[in-house]
Amino acid sequence: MLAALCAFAQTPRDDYRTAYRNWRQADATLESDSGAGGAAIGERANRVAAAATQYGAARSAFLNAMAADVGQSASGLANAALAVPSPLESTKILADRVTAELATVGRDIETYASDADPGIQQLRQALERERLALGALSGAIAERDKIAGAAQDRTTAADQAHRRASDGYRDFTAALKQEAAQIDRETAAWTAYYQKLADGAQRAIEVPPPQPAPIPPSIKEEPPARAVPAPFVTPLPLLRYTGAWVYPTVNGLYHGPQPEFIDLVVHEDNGRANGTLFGRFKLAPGVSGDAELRFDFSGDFKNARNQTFALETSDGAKGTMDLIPGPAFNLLEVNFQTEARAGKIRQGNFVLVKK
Amino acid sequence: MIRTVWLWIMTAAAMAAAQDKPPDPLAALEQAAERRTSEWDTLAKGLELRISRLLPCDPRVRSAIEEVGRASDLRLVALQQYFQAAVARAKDQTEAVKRLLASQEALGKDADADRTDAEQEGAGIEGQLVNLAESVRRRVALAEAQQALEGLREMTRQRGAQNERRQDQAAALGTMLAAMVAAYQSRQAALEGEMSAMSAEGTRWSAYYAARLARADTECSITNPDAQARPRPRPPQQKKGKQ
Repeated sequence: MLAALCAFAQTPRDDYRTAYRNWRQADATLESDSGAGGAAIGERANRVAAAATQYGAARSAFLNAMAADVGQSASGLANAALAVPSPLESTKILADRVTAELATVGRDIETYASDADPGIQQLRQALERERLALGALSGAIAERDKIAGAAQDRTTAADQAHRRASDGYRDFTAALKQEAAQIDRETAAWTAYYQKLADGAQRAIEVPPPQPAPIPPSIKEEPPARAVPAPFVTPLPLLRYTGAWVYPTVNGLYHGPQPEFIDLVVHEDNGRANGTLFGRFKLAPGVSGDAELRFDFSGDFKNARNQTFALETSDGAKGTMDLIPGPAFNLLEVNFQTEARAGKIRQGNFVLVKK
Repeated sequence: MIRTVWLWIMTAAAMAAAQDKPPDPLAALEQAAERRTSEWDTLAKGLELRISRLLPCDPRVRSAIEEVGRASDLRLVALQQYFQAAVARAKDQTEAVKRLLASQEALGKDADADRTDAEQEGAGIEGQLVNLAESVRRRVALAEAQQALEGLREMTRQRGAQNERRQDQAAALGTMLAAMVAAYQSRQAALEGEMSAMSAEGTRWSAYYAARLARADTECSITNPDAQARPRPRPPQQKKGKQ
């Protein structure tokens, strides 16, 4: 447990703070310049979106690491659970036995009280000493009974305090996870925002701006509006491949490394695909390495159900990625493999849902 | 292609690991103490009946009392061992909770960092909104992006509120842990008190069996002074405990 606490002390805020600075400094004039329009805004927006995603991932990782450490502390607390000591013996039975013995000895003393025989007097004195010993024993048993009762009471009180703290840990861990999930949603929303910024900068439609609508509690992104529908080069509509896709938070399907989260964005431009996949995987216990993976991909859409594109990871490893439309309109299976890199995820297979 | 069967294999492995847990030493000491108590109880209950049927100088009188005395000593030694282990565990648990409290207090001190980050993020978005508003005047197609950015501002605010709630929960948890440390310390002290009381009672039981033996010797000596069984000193208590 101590190790877990030390590990937490080392959990870095620096990672996400650096990522935040990088994001904010990536292109400080993007919004101001977007009014001028042009294709260059799209490239700039993509670059800033990548930095925003990196920040979101780092911030989420920080909160998840904190949640994991707090969860570990909570399990340490479970080890401090009280095994309430069962009363090893009944002091009442002991006290009753000693009381009965005292009565017997007392009766014998009474019997011999008026006998002047020296031998009997000697016996009476021995009985008196025995009665004294029994009296002291009776007092000691009563004292222990009182103390044992108090110990039971305090154990019960400690047990209640333990339960309350366990509940407190559970709530706190849940709050951390909720916050991390909120960061993930924000990260996806930032990607969508920069996409809209790029689309808006390139669109030449001049219509009165819509009034800002009330902000919904959770952001649901629509696919970017397009002035011209994308041409169909695939047997299925391109929308079965393009858009923003995520790994579901519950009941996700995968083979190989288990994803924690996956964000995939697929764009299409004149029959050519490009996009980015960013994700984090759960490493097997005892396995160290980089749980995060980021790669860009591109390639032409083919007249085939399954599309295969070349990819390159953020650290330069090359590979391929298959996009396989799922049984439902909003499902997309992804299968990728890359060149081997020490400590890096090099293959994965999972089903994503459309945002 | 997707083989979720691995989930089941991993779950089964985790369950197998849990079954390998070593036995609890405190429970073993508790069982030993209960066994010694039961042995002593059986002998003590039948003592007076056994010796009432014997002549005062019958050596079996003395040996019967000594046997119960030894069983009493063994029981008290076993109880002491149990309480020593229980107190040691209580102490370990108290220390563990103190460490949790210390780490929680450290988290509490870190709360300002979260607030600062949230303020910085909020300010960043406000700046973006100001810049984008200018651009929307020139290019209305950016209005969708503006809406999205306003949505992000709201999301960030919501997260700020979540963060505040989390800080409150952290503070409450710190209070709970402090109360837990106090309760565990109090319990530890109570167990130590019970152990001392058990030790004091043990001394009284030894004194009682010595007095009972002295009475048996007296009964023999006054009944038949010549045939009085030679008193044998009782072995030291520590040695009896190891028998």
